[in-house]
Amino acid sequence: MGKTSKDKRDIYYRRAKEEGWRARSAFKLLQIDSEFHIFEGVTKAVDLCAAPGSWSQVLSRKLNKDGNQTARIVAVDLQAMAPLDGVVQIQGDITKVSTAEEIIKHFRNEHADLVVCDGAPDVTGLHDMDIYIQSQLLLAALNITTHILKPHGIFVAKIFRGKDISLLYSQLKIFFKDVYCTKPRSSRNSSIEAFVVCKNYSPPEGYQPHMLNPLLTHEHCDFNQLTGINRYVVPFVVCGDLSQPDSDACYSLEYEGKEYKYHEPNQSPISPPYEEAITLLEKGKLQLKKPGTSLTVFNEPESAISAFKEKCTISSSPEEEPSVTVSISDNKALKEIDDESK
Amino acid sequence: MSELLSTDVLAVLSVGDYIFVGIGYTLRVYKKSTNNFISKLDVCYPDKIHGIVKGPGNYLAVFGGKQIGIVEVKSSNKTVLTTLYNAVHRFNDWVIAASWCSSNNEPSKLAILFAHNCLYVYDWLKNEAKEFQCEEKCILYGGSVTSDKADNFVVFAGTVFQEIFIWAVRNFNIGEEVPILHRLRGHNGVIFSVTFDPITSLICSTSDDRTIRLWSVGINSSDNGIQKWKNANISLMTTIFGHTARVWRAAIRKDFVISIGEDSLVCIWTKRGTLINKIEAHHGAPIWSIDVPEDGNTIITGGGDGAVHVWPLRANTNFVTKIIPLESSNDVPKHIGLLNSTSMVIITQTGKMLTQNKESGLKEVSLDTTKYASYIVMQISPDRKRVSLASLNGYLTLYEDNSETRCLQRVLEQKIMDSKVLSMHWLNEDSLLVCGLEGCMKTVKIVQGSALVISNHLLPQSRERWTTTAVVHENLLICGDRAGSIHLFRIGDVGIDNLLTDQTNSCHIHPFQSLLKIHGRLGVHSCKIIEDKLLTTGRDGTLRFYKLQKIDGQKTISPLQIDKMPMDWVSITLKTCTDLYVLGFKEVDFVLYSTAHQRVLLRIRCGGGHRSWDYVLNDGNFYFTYIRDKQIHVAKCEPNFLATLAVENGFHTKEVYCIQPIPTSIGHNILISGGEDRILRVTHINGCGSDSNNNQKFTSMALLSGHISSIKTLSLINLQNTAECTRNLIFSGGGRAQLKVWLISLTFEKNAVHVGNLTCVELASHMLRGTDQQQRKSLQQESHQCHYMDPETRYMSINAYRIPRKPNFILLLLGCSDGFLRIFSYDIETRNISTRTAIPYYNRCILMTHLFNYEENLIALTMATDGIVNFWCLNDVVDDIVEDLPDKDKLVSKIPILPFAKLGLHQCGINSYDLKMLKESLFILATGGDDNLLCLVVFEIKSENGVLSLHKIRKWNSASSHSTQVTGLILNESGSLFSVGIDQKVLTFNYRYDDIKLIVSLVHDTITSVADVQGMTMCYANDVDSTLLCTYGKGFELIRRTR
Ligand SMILES: C[S@@+](CC[C@H](N)C(=O)[O-])C[C@H]1O[C@@H](n2cnc3c(N)ncnc32)[C@H](O)[C@@H]1O
Repeated sequence: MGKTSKDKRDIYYRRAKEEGWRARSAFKLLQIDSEFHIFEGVTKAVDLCAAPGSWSQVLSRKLNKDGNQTARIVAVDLQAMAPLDGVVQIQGDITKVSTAEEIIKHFRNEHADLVVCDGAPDVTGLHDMDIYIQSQLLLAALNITTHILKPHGIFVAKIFRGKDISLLYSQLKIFFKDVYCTKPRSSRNSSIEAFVVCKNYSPPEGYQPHMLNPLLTHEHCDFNQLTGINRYVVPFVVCGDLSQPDSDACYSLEYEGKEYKYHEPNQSPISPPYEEAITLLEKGKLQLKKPGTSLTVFNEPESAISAFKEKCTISSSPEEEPSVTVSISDNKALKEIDDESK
Repeated sequence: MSELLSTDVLAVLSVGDYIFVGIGYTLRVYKKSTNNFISKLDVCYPDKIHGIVKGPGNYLAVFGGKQIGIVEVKSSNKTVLTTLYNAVHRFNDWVIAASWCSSNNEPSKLAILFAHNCLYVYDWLKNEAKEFQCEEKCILYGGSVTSDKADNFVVFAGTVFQEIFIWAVRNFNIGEEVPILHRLRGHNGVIFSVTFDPITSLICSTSDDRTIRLWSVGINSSDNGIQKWKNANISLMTTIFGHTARVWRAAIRKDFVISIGEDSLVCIWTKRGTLINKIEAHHGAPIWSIDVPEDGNTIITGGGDGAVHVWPLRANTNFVTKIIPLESSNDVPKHIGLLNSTSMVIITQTGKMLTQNKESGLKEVSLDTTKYASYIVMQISPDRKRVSLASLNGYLTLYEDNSETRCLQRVLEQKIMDSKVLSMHWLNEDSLLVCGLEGCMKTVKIVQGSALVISNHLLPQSRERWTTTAVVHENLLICGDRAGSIHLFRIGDVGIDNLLTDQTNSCHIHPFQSLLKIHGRLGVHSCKIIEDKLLTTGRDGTLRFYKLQKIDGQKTISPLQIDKMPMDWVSITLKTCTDLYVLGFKEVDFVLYSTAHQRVLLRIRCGGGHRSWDYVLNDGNFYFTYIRDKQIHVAKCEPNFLATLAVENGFHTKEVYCIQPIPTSIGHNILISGGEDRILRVTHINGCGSDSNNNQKFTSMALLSGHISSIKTLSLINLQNTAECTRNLIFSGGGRAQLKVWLISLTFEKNAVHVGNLTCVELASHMLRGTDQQQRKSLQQESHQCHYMDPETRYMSINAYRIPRKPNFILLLLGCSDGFLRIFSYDIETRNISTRTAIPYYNRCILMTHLFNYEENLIALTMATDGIVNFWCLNDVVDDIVEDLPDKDKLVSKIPILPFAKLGLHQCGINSYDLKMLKESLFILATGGDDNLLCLVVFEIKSENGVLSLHKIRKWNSASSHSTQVTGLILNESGSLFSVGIDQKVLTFNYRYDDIKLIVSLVHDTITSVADVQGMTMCYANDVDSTLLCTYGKGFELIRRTR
């Protein structure tokens, strides 16, 4: 399969590259806006779970009309993200209270007009767990929102549709007058992803935003509400009309009569968690796919570094597989050894 | 009621000779020594079991989602009875881990760690909890809790953001936040597991960053209780890289660390991080759960393929290699062969022949060096008693192993070929096939010390013209050659054993059947007859099966399935009473593969298959000898020990996209399934419904490979369905616009199903854009453009229809992701697939298609991501196929047919449907959408002057029955509608249409444990009062609905 095959399979991926978006998700926010007009009058916005940054790009382009950088945008993610003009970045876990406090600090005496959250866990494949974590991201985002969103403000967040989703809806309904569930055309048909668009922020009277176990207090467990007839049903709206391309369809590279030019991907994550493992693989020293191959790094006292370097040997496991054993004190030293052995 | 379930196994626990397994919400018990299922108990409905923890007495804590059940286990001599103690305990937070209080006076207390980094000390008798919140409030992905005799609890918590927290509680004031004692930093990603092993005093953590980290805990021996942890000195000791994907969990047991991961590997390490063994355990599916029983001999794993396996922890201690030295240091071994497990023959570079055995060591055998100076072909007879040599000038020499003197004696030396002997093969204990130059082949029989030529044959012309293998069967001589072809020769009328003299007549010289280049240009490697099948292997990495059939009184072969082996060079098949081993080479490794277990049992780094090597299997011991670095190596192991049968069988390793039951006239449930793992599976559900202990099992009957991308859809045409046999054409399609046609037939012996009676043959394979090579070629020709412009297409849906007017022709309707509705025809006789028409459909991905016949009209339904159901009349297309049968695909055209009717039912994609005829011209259609909507429409189709029209009569909608997309629907005759969605709800509705009203009411709901449900089909219920539903997606489940 060539490098163009993803371009053919995913029209939004290709368009994102052509139009300079860091991720195809940009279209989801654009399509949500075309249906719900979420950017109207917005000058201060928070983008939770923002990396690699395409939603921040959309916010920056949409909120700064006529090229002046007047809008205030704060972007938060676990992952580091390449800088964006006019976007303040915070790196951290939004489910962690201390991160939430840091975000709130940016809005000391002010309110945000819009909070968006496209957060998603790196899915494990265990659907119940993934859906649970996703719901916690949403509640964390909601909690941050209760601290900073202005009255009648808008909150947009990704959800995973699962069997307990009615519970989430009813929790959102406590804080917002209007709650919709929407799916942009650019989101794939088979995906469990959808978005809640919550308009008209109006917390219950006397509600005091707090940081005391914030996630759990939203989670009142009323099973009648979950399953009973009183369960809150949220309208489901598909946004983006049929003139928008279909994210499940395959398109010819000469789509819409335009001449095709291959574009390199825009922005991959700055440093994936397994970067170190990958670097080791790429250096060709480690072929983890081969049976019996492994690498161990020992963290021993500093003083003994040189002695350990000598121990850097190819050892044999019982199956006579060479396995590289490197003994050193930290990762920096590991790289040195790699360089020496070149 | 759930009758059978195969899905992710998230919890395993071994207690004594019993294994407790959590699958879905059910706790299952097996006996380890016999692999038998014993009993099951529903515990956490509707949540999945994520953990099982052994408690004091006979209690287990079983948790999943936000629930914990206390299960009491009573074992009598033969069975184990599990009962749920009271009701399950529900919490409002996700349970990460649980542990029993170890102090004896409080057997009813559990410490429960929740995802919000808080701990409950919970009395399950009184339903009372003491709650402790850690000062750091965040979400945990993994963690554990330990307790000591004095009721101190220590929490090891893993976060999404690289950190491990250690905190401890003891009768802390509730409401106060508990401080963190230690923060361990070092991982670069989400922490999936953290455990502490008190014996080694190590903390072991696993992560997204693909590492396992061991942290040493230095504890001051004078400290007690929580103080001990406060003052502990914790530091990162070892970082282990060895997995190629996320590492889910790891366990420490005495001297070993055992880790499991998304890459389907079980890795066994020493505490110093030296890798001892990597087991490729669950066929590529992630491994979720592990337990290492205290006996320290076995490992139990549960995987994403639904399987549960028991592995030896120390398999390699049974694996011995030794080197046999030659006396003279300047001579090197060139050929080796094993006479039995302790003795071997060696021919050296200098032309010496040696034997070596335990009793007499190395001994030289006399050899006529004038004949055998520089060139020798050596073969060992099947009974390993004779050694045959052949020479440059056509001599055949035979040695016999004298069991008394334990040395080789020459018994024959005779010139049998006018030329150099290129190859030689034993056909049975006293006959050989010898192949010389120019394809000259002779079969030779050893009779009273001399070699008689029985027959002469001529190997067809090829570049390297010699045989590589040969077998005889009745009057057949079957040879494989270096050019990759298989040839069949007749030898007399009765077979080689009854031929004494040369009865050659012309029809014997040339093959009467040849399968040219079937194993590719690197050649055939072996031929073997097992029962009525021929098995061949070759250097194309495949094992091929053929059926031996009598046609006009003569046995011939016809190809059956092809199995891709996990090796490049497939050498030999070896039948044992319980298994069929395949031996071969992958790069520099020798590989021993078990077909019964579908896994590699053994790898030996021998340098590759080009060197001389040999093996024997003796009393369950496998000996493998090879020459490497000019030395003779012998390896020994017990393959039986390397693989035990699965405790629970596995199914697909990834999402299942389609399941079709095979029609049988006697109510067997045989399912064909395909999915993301690209394998087409044939599965037999044993003993549905009737089994008293309510334990249905399933067995995999065949795994068919060949699809290069996911299998999205299946369609079936039944050719025969009698009490003796069912024969079916299967059309499978999916990614990369690939379509395959298979013939799957099964004969029944006394109504019973046996794996041996199933045959699966790939009849045809088709790719819309040609194979990758063809695409590349066409690109090179049109040099001006540098990208292949056409879209990649997935076949989303296939319907097959046998044309009544032309029963040899099958019309195939394909819904494609590039928005085209394509029509192909398949010719049963020529096995030819021709493309007929491609109807464009607004560039929308077509998700579902359906074909039905109504008053001589062939009508197609298409459903796409635009939420519209379109109705097409295909009469013209059928006429085209019937009337005009071009040799070439000249009919390929894009006729702009338009649908004759449209129903806009959904806002976006239609993921499921079912259609039933209510009465003459009146139909009911159920559709389920990506917009969570369930829709029922009653419509009428009219035909006037050959023009079809549709009238919508009634519609019923429900937006709230399912909270997610609806992915499976079944309408049955008796007025029930079954629906299932990604929300895992299985709903039963009653529907009734009475000419005015369409009345639909929900009558039942339940939850399926299959996540990511892709669809639902119906199986034989074997009971008139019930329906057996099969939901599939992440695994499959059989659910019985009784009226
Ligand atoms: C789908 S991506 C967001 C894409 C982004 N909206 C864009 O358009 O470029 C989801 C992001 O959620 C982040 N995330 C997941 N869990 C998080 C958490 N607990 N705190 C902060 N970010 C988190 C991930 O790091 C990931 O970058």
